[in-house]
Amino acid sequence: MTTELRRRLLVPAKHLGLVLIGFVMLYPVLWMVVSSLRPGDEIFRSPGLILDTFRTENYTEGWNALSPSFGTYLLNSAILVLGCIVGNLVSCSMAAYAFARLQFTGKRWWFGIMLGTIMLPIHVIIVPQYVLFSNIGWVNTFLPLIVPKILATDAFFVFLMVQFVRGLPRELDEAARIDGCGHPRIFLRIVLPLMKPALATTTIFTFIWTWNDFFGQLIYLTDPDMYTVPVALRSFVDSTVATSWGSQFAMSVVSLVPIFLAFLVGQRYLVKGIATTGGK
Amino acid sequence: MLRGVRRGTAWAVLLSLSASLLVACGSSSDAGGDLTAEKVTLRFTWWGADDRHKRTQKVIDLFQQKHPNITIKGEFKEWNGYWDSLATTMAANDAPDIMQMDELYIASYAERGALLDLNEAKKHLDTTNFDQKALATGTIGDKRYGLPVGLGMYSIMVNLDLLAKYNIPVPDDTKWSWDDLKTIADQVSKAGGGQVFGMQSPGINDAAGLSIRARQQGKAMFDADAKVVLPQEIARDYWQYILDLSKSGASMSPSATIEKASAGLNQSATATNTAAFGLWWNTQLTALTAASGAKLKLLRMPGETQGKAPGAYYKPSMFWSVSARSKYPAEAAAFVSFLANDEESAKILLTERGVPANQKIREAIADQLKETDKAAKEYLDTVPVSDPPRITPNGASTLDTILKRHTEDVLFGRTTPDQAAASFIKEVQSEVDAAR
Repeated sequence: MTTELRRRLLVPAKHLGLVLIGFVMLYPVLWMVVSSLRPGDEIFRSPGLILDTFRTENYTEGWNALSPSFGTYLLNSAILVLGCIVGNLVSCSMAAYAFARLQFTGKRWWFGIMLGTIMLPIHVIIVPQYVLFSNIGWVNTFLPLIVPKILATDAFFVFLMVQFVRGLPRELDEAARIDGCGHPRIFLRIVLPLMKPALATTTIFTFIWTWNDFFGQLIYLTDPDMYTVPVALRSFVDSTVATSWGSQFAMSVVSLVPIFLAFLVGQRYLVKGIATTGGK
Repeated sequence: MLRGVRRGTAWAVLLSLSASLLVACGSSSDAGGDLTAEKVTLRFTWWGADDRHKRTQKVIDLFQQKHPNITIKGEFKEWNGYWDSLATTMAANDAPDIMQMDELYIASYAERGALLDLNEAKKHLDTTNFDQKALATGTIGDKRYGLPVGLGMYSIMVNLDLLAKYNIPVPDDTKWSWDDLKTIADQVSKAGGGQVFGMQSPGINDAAGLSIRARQQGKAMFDADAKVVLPQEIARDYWQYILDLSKSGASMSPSATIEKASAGLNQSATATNTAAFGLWWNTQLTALTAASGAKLKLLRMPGETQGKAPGAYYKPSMFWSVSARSKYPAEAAAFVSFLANDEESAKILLTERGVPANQKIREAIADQLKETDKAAKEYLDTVPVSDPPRITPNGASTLDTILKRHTEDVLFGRTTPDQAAASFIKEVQSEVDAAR
């Protein structure tokens, strides 16, 4: 009886606690959404969440604040994200298959080098990289941001997929081999379909990281017509002059929507992908 | 000016790396030659927020109408990204032709040979309507690396509504001292009952306050050879003053002070009506009035009449600079001249980049200015100044960051004003030495 009572009290109490903590963590986002509906000069004078005005002007103003309008930036970000996702999926899965299933000279060594690239800070490589791309004439196009992805330079995803492929039973490969499959077929028919959770994880992470990446896009995209969402959002803020926070918050909300949707749709795969690669 | 986080050492290193690349490159074509009739494209970059981007684009369009063969491509960034991006493109020999340049960085870029000496392009760049004291701010040795765009002066911003609310008379700024400022700030804090404070603590966002105190005593931060010549006791007294303000309650608690100061203009104590006095550039009056909704007034700096010389000086809000490796230096100079001298363009830009340094332009736009901009212009026209200090030397771009850290240490009691003064001077000197 007492345990039953305790359970009855404990569960709601636990949930209440979790809801409260969740609210605290969500507060900044909620505040941003509410602030985007306030007149700009009121934003920092009222930290509360209760709206006494409902202004949608921030959205229309923010959308048209820069030239071109915000739609261009969303489109640019979308193109970039799509390119990066396709690049990563194709190249990283092939690289991962090679590392997990093929035998070649210096495999461990190459694997080590690949992992080492994760640790290189961007400041070290940005100048030589910029010089390279500027000589090829690729500055101010999406190519410097997309082409490296097609060459499996995102070592994190290669690693993630290698771990996943290693977890797949080799017997499947061998059965396919007996039926006369070579490596291309084993990869396409056997391994790739089984890798779905890892591919989903890669898709979602690439989406979020590319969508939020600021630095590379800032450096390589110089023409305002090529700007992406993060670069455009930062153009609202300049600490030397007054900032139109209202417009900036409104556009931040707009730019959060795709991320939110991607996460909503993909979170099931995300958890699955990480659980199956990390747990082994 | 009030600014966000300065770039870290990584960028300083990057910039010095790029130095080696820059040495061999002078400008290839002739800056003093005639304007070309061929079709050319120039890249023009600036930092700022959305309002500036719009106005600048309009001026670009205007220029292109008058010079149909010249296309100007505008590239806008915000402050931090701007310097990251500029350092990278400089290193890769792919810098924009025309740049908005800041006082803190101009020496770093100029001494590495990245900027064109505008004297070479005299033929296309008209500077006749500029005050000599203003022009001097962009000159190193006998070379002119930047043309000042707007001018600002350090000032005390007072919130008249708060003083009226507490029945405290507005002080007479023609002969007030630093002690007078502290006394009145104490009065406000007492009346404010923990909600409103007298003074927004200085010494956090920039070094101008310290520089002005030194200049009032006939001293300076740097000498012509880029040596730190700031006397230790002046720095010590400055931090003692800040500490006294904090201890007596004239300014907010240290943690609140740092938080407000780091959050940008809109969240500062002045903008949120929580401090009656604050040190600001006169050109920020409009933005602060809009943010606070209160009636603000510009007062002269305290201590200007007690010392040896007025500490006030013209600070260029920014410069126009031309890349030393621009393929079309003459055309770039013509565009800079248009930005600085054309009345039509001035009427679009107004005071968004500060009160124009060009005196003729300043008068030409006077009628169009808002009440607050007029007040800022009048401040610039009437307050006595002395010669500008030396340009912040190469390597000292981190001056403000170093100052802020020391102020924090003093406010939180981690160090004494005396120790802070010694360590500040040593650190700035070593930064300058390291850049040589």
